[in-house]
Amino acid sequence: MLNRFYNFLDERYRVTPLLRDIADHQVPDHANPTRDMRAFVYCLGGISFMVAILLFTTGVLLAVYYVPAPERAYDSIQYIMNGVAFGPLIRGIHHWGASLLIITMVLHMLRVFFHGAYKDPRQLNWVAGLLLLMAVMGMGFTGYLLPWDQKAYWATNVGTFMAATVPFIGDFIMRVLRGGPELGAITLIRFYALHVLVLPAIIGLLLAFHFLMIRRQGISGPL
Amino acid sequence: MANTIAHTTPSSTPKGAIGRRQFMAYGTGVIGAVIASIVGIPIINYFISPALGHSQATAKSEWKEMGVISQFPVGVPTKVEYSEIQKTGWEVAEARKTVWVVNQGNGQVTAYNPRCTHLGCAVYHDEKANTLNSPCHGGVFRVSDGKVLAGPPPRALDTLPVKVENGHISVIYKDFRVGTTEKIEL
Repeated sequence: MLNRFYNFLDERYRVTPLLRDIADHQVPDHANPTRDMRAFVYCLGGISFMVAILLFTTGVLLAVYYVPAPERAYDSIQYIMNGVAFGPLIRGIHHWGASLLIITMVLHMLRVFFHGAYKDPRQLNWVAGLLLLMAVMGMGFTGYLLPWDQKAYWATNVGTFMAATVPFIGDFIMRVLRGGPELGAITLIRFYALHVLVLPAIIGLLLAFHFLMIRRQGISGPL
Repeated sequence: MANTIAHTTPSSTPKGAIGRRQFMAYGTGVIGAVIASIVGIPIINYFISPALGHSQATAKSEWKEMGVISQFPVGVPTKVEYSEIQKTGWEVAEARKTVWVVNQGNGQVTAYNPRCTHLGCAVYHDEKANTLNSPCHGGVFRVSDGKVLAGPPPRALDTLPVKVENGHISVIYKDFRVGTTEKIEL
């Protein structure tokens, strides 16, 4: 049954070469942790991706109940925590995963840096990685406001005032971030839109480039 | 070494028996299914858990005062509206409720849930024909007993528990499943 369905697909769309390309893709010996545990540092990028998938999945689930409005945000999260089955688990994974992703990404970056793997011809992949780190930090900044508790409010208050210290255009940046001079309903909904729509799209594109480039160039050789 | 292990010839297993390769494939499938359910069960539960609870109306099954019987004209439905605090998930808000009350004369009173039994549209009073009509698909109900006179509704309008004490009419508001021939409380 499953075989016949696979053959149906394969005859029409030739999926076997695509699958073989993934399944037969060789991990170089120097990057294979089963040969030398120290090669585990090569896994940090993949681990970051796995954490990102976890965050994406739990984020979609949180959006099922979360309401990005000042009078509702906190209550809707309390409902996730007290009224929904596995709510604390889903939110907990999203909460802790957010910090974990920053950690694994920075470790991945340090590995690439100390191995010199960013050098020619992989410069653009390093740049893509930097942009990814910035986008993920944007996720952290926008996501931090969404619980709409004291910590969220004052952290965003401080964060947007930091932007205001930029010479000449600082005040303008702060107003754009807040959607006005004050931090309030407009700030919350635009941070939510950035967090669940804009930044995930940017991150998805950058990840695609990141992976296509590494696949085309292969990972850097042994030290 | 590795090659000889990986490429056991299919002929080394008797016909009909499960070979090592097939066993490993099945085993991988089983482990995959276990992992998928460990991940999937919380996710599905998370999504559907609010659907499993009952309606959280706080004032449920309480007698609600509709008014004094002498104020209700005989044989004609009167729309009574009131609001009550209703909790849905994290939201606690005033929900507006409507009851159609019919004074049958001789002290008898009938109260109807305003939902058409077809697909739940709120009925209105057609004053010319003195019927309760649904605005959606042409359901028409008789005022005296809620019987279907025309249209697709599968059963009569749902009556609500009603009592008259010292001339005061009280009703217990309930909602029922629509589209069924039997009256099933939600």
